[in-house]
Amino acid sequence: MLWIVSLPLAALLLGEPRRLAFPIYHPLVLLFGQNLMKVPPDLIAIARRLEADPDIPSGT
Amino acid sequence: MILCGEEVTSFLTPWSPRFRYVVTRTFYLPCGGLNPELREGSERFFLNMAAHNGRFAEAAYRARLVLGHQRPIPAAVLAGSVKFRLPPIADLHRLADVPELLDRYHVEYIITSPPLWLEDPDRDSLAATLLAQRDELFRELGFEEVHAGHEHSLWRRSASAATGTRPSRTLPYKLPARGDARRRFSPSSSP
Repeated sequence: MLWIVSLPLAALLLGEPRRLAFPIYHPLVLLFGQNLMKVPPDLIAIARRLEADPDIPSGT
Repeated sequence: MILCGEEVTSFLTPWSPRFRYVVTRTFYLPCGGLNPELREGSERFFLNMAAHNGRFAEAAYRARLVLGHQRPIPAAVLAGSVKFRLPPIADLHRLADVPELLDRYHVEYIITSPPLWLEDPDRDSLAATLLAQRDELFRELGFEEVHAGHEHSLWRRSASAATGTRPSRTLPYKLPARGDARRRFSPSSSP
């Protein structure tokens, strides 16, 4: 319980919640972290557009 | 090749193995241009600065060499009122080099990001200026905006700019032949 509360509390107190990134296995991230890992919609549209371009070289 | 920042490559790399980037991680570029023998790294880094900062690329490049990759860039540095002194070995690039570098690295697409690297108090005042001149520079370089998103935008090299004396689509470096590598590491080849 202490572990669940202490990490986000420390991040908020230090004012650097983004730099003190939560460990990905933290229960709060697992519960509410879907938005943290969401790809920006702009980039999804851009990626689809790039993928549709036949000029993008294929293969490695 | 796609010219974009580190945060964009982080999202696009798992999307498709067909995408190729000028820069994937800025810290992959050793010495940030301070070693003249690693010129390709500094060129790619400078192109990244041009994609983010437009005409402020030279000032931003200097600032990044001094401040590192994480810290925000003060507005006074971009405006030119504060200049960082760099050691004479620093490999400096000029804004005039950008068209040639875009050709050499076969840049077909540029993806722009919001200017989060500006210092917080200056962000609102400088961001509009920075974005406007950046877009203007891309148009001058022969790119057209094909997708204007809320935060990120996609620019493509226009067809008219893509023709002409551009080199063919080949890798900018030559890989060693397989036989050479085998011979080099074979114990029988040692004198």
